[in-house]
Order: sequence, then structure tokens, then C-alpha cells
Amino acid sequence: MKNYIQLNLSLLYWILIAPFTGQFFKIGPIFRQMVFIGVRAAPMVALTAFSVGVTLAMQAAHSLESLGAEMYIPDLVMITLLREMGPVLIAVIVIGRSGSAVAAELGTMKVSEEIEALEVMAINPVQYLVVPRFLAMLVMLPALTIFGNYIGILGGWAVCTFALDFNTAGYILRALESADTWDLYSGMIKSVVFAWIIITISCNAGLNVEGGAEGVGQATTASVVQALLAMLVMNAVLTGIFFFAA
Amino acid sequence: MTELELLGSAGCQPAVAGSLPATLCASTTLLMNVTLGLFSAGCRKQQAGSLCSPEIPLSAFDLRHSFDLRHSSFVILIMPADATIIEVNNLVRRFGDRAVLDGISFNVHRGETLVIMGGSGCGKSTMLRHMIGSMRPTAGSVRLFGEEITGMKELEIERVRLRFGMLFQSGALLASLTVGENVALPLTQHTNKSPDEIEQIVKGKLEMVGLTGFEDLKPDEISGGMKKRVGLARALALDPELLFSDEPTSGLDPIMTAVVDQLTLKLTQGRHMTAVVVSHDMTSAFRIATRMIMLGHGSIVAEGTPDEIRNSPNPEVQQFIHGRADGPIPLNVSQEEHKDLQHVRPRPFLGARFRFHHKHT
Repeated sequence: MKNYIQLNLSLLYWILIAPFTGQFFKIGPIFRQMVFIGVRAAPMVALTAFSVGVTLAMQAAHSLESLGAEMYIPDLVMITLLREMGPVLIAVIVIGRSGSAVAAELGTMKVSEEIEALEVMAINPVQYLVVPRFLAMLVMLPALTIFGNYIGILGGWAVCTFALDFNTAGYILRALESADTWDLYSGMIKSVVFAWIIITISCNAGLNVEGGAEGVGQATTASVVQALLAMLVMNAVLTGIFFFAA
Repeated sequence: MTELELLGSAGCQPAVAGSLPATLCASTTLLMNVTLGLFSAGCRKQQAGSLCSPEIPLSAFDLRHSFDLRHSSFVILIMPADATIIEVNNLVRRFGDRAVLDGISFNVHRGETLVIMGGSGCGKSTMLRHMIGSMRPTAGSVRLFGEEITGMKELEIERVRLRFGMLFQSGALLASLTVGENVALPLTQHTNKSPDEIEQIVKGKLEMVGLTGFEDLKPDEISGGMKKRVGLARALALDPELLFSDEPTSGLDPIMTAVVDQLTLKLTQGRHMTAVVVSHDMTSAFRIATRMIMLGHGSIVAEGTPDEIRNSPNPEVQQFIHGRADGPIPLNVSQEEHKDLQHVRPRPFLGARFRFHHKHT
């Protein structure tokens, strides 16, 4: 925990304070990480979100049909995706794909003396390695969440249009009527917080690897488990703050 | 200490020493930069060093500069030609109850090539890591370029690290970058040179180590010996005043070993660069060393010129340099000693930093 807090404080220093002392972070590595964390994860996110949208619509149809309330299927799909399923499921995908990759990459760099070499070259590892990944994750996870929300709603539309008696206009109007902007914003805030949690836990695990390949494997597993747990607990806390306590 | 550090705001001149015209040129440059430097230093609340005594002629000094373009400043150094670059005083490093380094003291002067040798697990790498500021000693001090580094914070030590290069045993190249990008890394991070200038420097450094045309390959596409040579090129990218090498010739064929040795000799000729080399390769060590230290039992077993070491009556030295299996040096590191060495913990980052846990034997 001490290392984790130190890493977070160090990140804040390099992002918020260091640029004012002339130590700017470079933009190029941030875009490279955005491509890795965001763009290359898009197909996986799309498939997951579409499946979730389809599943939600089918479950909603099954439950609401008996009550004669099929017209609320778009509402359920829309609100569930924007508030909960979108941010959480896409965070799960990113933890499994990008979080584990970051932990493994930094862990391998640690055991192969690359990080020590950076230090000896007077290049701060947090500035050089963690800051680009952190900023990329902070931008790309919310972007992926918005993308996933669209695809999930498309999945719901597919079920409603092809299996039920909805027409496209009716589905869109009903979906838009049911949700307000706060539903979208709450999901975005969640995804930003999740991004912070995922990348800091992954980087911390990688930078504190001990041992060789075995240590890298253990750190990667630990980063996935810790990030998942932290993300789910934080999701419950944020849902409580946004929709229960308010 | 006769050292002048002047912080200037723009422009740099090549290092000059010796001849009268060069000295006059340097003096003029110096006077201009004194004004600019003190002004800038005052503005930036940085400390300018003490001026050297006027009775000492400039020809007795090496004029050098080092760059810190990230902070838009440069440093001119005037040091006596025989200045002490590294001072290790009574250095103690304990892991548990065992002292890996137990009261070691030695100095390294400008232009010297000091070879540190000793059996596996005798503390050579630990010694090296104290000298580069990666580890904090239990007691004692290490001074680099006249500055005490053992108590320095991370951002302070980065300033000192810009003045030396380090060749790691494995090369420690960044696997995600190409060979060229690895060599260019210190230049892109610490200077404002244009991409064309950096490309020229990278080509030059790779040519020095016999790897012309390898710029676009990734580290996993070249051999271990090549990685080490790229590591050497990277260590020399900023033209450091001091080079630390951890086993620079292990894994190299005899011809490349000779090339690396010749390069080290060339760089240290004329007192332009100082080198500290940790090596097991006795042929190479005797070829490049101006002074040698043998570590054992946590202390210095022998110290002297290559000839003095070669003729040393100490049986441990004779066993080591002749590679005999029988002798006073124990064959095996005990399990307890090995365990101690597995828990080498380098210093943490300044302030809000995380801690590394290195494992080196």
C-alpha cells in the first residue's frame, strides 16, 4: 500500500508540478499507449458490449413480456448500460487485456534491469513509463465506454427490431426518453475513476516485481485480481454516492 | 576543492585544455558565461560554486562542460587535471548481520581506468551500485565529482548522473526500442538536439562499437555481445566524463573484446574520460587498467598498478589472476551469504517515489 501511495503521489508530481519546472512529458508515447490501450481493444470491447446489449434486451423481454411492458425494454437496456454495465464490463475487458499487459511489460523491464538503466541515465521511470500509460488510460477508458455504450444499445436494437415488434425510430425515441445526461455522466465519472485504479495498480505491480519470470507472472495475476476487486468495490461506492445517497 | 561551476543560460563551447590559444579562447568564453551564468543562477536560485584561486594557472586545469538542457542550463567545470573524480570513504554495506562491504576506501582520479575485480559474490556489483547512487550505504560516503551522493535526493542525483554513463552486464537495452532509439534515448531526453543531429551522433557511436547499420534492429534481433556493445554506445551517447562498466567484455569474442578495450583506452587517453570497470576478464583487465582493486571478505585485498597486482605476493591475488581452482579463495558462497545478496535494496526515489527491490549477486 505504501508503494502504491508513493506511486500515486509521484504521478501527481510529474503531471501537475513537473511541467511548471520545465520537465514536460512527451506527447508521442502517450499516443502510442492510447493506440495500444484503446484502439486495439476496440474490437474486443465492441463484441462484449454487443453481447451485453443483446443479453439485456432478451432478459428484459422475457421478464417484461409477462407484465405486458415490452415497451420498456429500451429503457432498461439504455439505463443499465449507461449507468452500470457499460463502465464495469469495459473496465473488466481493459483490466484483462491492457492492465495485465502493462504489469507484465513493466515487470519484465524491472527484472531485465531496464528500469535501473533508465534511472542511471537520469530518466525517471515514473515520468518515462508510467505517465504516458496513465494519461492514455485516463482518456481511452472513458472513450471505450462511450463506444461500448453505443454498441450495446445497437445490440438491444437488434433484438427489439428483429425478434420483437419494435421499429427503429420507436426504439431510439424510447431509449432517449428514458435516460438523462446524468446517466451518461455518472458512467463517465466511473470510467475515469476505474482508469485511475486500473493503471496505477498495474504499474505498481509491474514496478515492484521481485524475482524472474515467476515474479512477473505473480505480479501480473496480482494486478488483475487487485484491479478487479478495487474496481468493483469502487463501483458500489460510486453507485451509492450517485444514485442512493443523493 | 578547486572547482568552478558556472551556470549559463545559452550556448556551449567545446571542452578545451592545454594550449595557449585554446586556453585564451576558453577564458573569453568563461568570462562571458560567468556573467550570464551568475545572472541565470541568481534568477533560478541555483548555487554557483566557488571561484578558483587566481594564482593557479589555467593550463593546470581541464575545462569541461556538461549539459542540462532540460533545465536550459549548462555547467562549465574547471578541475585540476589530476582531480579526484570518485572518493569512497569507509563504505560499509550490511545485509542483516553480514557486511558485504566493510569499511572500503579508495579514490579514482581523472583519466584513470580503475578495474575492480574479485570472486563471485564478493560485493563488486554492490560496490558499483553505491558508486552510481542506486544503493545507500549502511555507513560511509561516496563522493562523485566532489559531491556527496549518499544523502542526495533523487532529483539531485539525476543531475550527477548526467555526467556519467553506465554499461550494464546484460546491456539493459529497452526491448521496446530499436538499437538506434536506445542509443538516442539519453540525447532525446536530456538535450534539445535536432533529430538529424541525434541521428548523426547515434551513427557515430554505433560505428565506434562496430555496429554500423544496426540502427533499425530490435534488441531481441541481435546477439548478447552486440547488445553489450549497443549498451556501451548508449552509455557514451552524452560523452560522459566517467564511465562505469559492469563486465564489459563478458560474452564478447576475443576480437570484439580487443575492440572494446581499445575503445576504453582511447576514451581515457589524454585524461578525457575516467573509467571504473568491474571485470573477471583478466586479459582485458590488465590491458586497460591503470590501477586495480581486488575485493574479498568485504574489504580490499589488494590495490595497485597492473604490474603491482601481477607481482603481488598475496596468494588470493595470485589464485584469482591465474584462475587456479586450489587456493585460499573459497569455491562456494554459503547459502546464508547468497541469501543476503539476494536482498540488495537500492535507494527509493525522491519524496513521493516507489521502492525498487533489486536482486543482484
